[in-house]
Amino acid sequence: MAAETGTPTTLTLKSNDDELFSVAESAAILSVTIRNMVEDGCAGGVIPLDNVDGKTLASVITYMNGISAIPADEEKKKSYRDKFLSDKDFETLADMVLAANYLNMSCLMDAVSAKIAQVMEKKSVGWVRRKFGIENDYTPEEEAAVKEEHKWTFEGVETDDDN
Amino acid sequence: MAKKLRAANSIDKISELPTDILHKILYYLSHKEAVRTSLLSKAWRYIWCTLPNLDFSDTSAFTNKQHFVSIVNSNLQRYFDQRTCLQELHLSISLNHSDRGLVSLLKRWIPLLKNMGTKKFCLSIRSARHIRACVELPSVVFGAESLHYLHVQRFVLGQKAIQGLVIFKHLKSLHLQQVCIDEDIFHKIILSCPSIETMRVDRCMRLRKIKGNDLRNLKDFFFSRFQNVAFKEGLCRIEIHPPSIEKINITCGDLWLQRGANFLNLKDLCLRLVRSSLDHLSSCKFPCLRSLKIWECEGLKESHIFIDAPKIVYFEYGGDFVPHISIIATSSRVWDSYLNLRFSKVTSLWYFKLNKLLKLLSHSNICVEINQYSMKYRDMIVQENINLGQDDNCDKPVVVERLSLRCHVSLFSSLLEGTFRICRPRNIGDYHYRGDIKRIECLWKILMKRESGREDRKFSEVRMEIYERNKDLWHPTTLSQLPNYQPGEYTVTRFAIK
Repeated sequence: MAAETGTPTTLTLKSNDDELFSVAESAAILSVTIRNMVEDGCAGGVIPLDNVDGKTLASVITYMNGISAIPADEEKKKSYRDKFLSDKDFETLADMVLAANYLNMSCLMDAVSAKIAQVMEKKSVGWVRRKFGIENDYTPEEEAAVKEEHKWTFEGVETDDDN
Repeated sequence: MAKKLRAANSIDKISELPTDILHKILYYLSHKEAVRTSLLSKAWRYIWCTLPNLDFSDTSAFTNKQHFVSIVNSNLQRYFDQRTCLQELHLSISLNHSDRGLVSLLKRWIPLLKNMGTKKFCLSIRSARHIRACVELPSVVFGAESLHYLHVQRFVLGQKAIQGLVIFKHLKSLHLQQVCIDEDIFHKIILSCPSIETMRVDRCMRLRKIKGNDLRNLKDFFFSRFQNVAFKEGLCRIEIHPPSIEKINITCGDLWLQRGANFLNLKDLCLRLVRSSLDHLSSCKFPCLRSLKIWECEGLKESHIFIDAPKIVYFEYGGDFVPHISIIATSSRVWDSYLNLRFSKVTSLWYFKLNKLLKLLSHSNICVEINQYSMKYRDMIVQENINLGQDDNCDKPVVVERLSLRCHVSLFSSLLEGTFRICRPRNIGDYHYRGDIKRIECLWKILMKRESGREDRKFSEVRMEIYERNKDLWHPTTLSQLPNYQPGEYTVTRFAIK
């Protein structure tokens, strides 16, 4: 392994739309899925990642490289994560949360989940539907019934503002 | 693959996420916010019902206490009935005298949490009564095995409160605030918390001793007390140096140091109003110490302290006497020190000590702030003809990054006269360009005289500068320009000296 030979090992990852990416092993093993493959000796050739597309994988690799370059300083890592996610739209976040889940990267998973929750927080139901493209398939009667059931949760602060 | 294609075509990506991922997202929302998502669409209707966590830490979300109790009760009942695992529970409650409902809620559910799979129980419990009302903490609290975080405020913790004390294997953080507790009860509690990492003992009463050397995982320790309580009840003796400790912050307590102790992981040390002798600091080792703050510590008065802290980044001292402290840092490192000195009488001896201290700290970027002891500036004495003694070489005054005088302007001239003999400030300030205008005018006069005059150590250039907040920049300015600046954008001025 890398530590023994002294030269950094590079892995090749393949997305489900057949794009190839090379990434330093030290950064890639942030993914437990990839780490297990490396430890089992299955990382020699190309590692196929069937559930991640090229665009998302490129983003995830940017994250892997960025975060692994930061030494053990939780505050700096956190601010890197915040910055990394700040300009991502919701569709990208949804793809990333799926990828992070598949790759078993808990730190990315937590950060993206928190980011999505932060977008939803204190927003009206209508706003969240529009933002995330959720189709309201309740009948008006059903909707009124659900609303009545949890009436107290619809009291207080909610907004339709975009920021 | 078919599913993937469908996902790419539809816009609604979030509803297609697997339930466990949706749970991870809703994990970050309060209970109220999580329940609201049931209205989004049919797919969302019951997602919140099986969340592995419940967050009731925001009580303001509920109309009243009864409502809170009934919502918490019905939710816990649902998990219990459906045998859904409740991994995490956050509860924040405030008890009134008449709150039978909340107490029975705790009594009912705390014993069941373990069976419900709860691994992380975070509880904050406050008494709405004044501490003198002596409300005993319900004993069920110290029987909650799954406690991960516990905050107790304004209760009496007596023998009765801990009669059902269990071992808290998961307790990472304990915060006792304005709690009345004896030391034997306190030690029984902390002995039951082998995994504790953070401990805050905030303004507690009756506690006379804290012994935390056996807490193998303790990283962060905070202690504070009101000064008047400390006077009445005596100081609390604190022994705290487990090898794991990273942060110590003590206000108004007695720190007991073992001679030669090695604080292997300590990064932050802050001592305020500590009256015990701090002589042993010199024999201790601080291989990781980054920040050291010492305020109003009488124990330093007669001592010479040497602190072995090769990784120091920041040192701060505040008090009404000039101490003798030297920090043994790695010479190549850049570090800062900040001195906040209060005086009632400035004598030759005061300058002599300050000169010594500045020399001891001369490897750092020093900031000195000099304050008068009280508002009555007429009582303050600043000696004019100072004698620094013959041994001491004052030919090379120590370079100080910033000097700030916070006293009546009538003392400025003589104080600066003496101070300039022992240090050479790069800047004098910072003064608010409107609020501190009298000080600015006074300094301007004194410094201009020094620039043009014939003093021993005259300045080659004195420049007034003003700080622009948004740009984080200092601009040259003059006294007459000051009224033209926009308040808010510009804040303080200083004098840059060459």
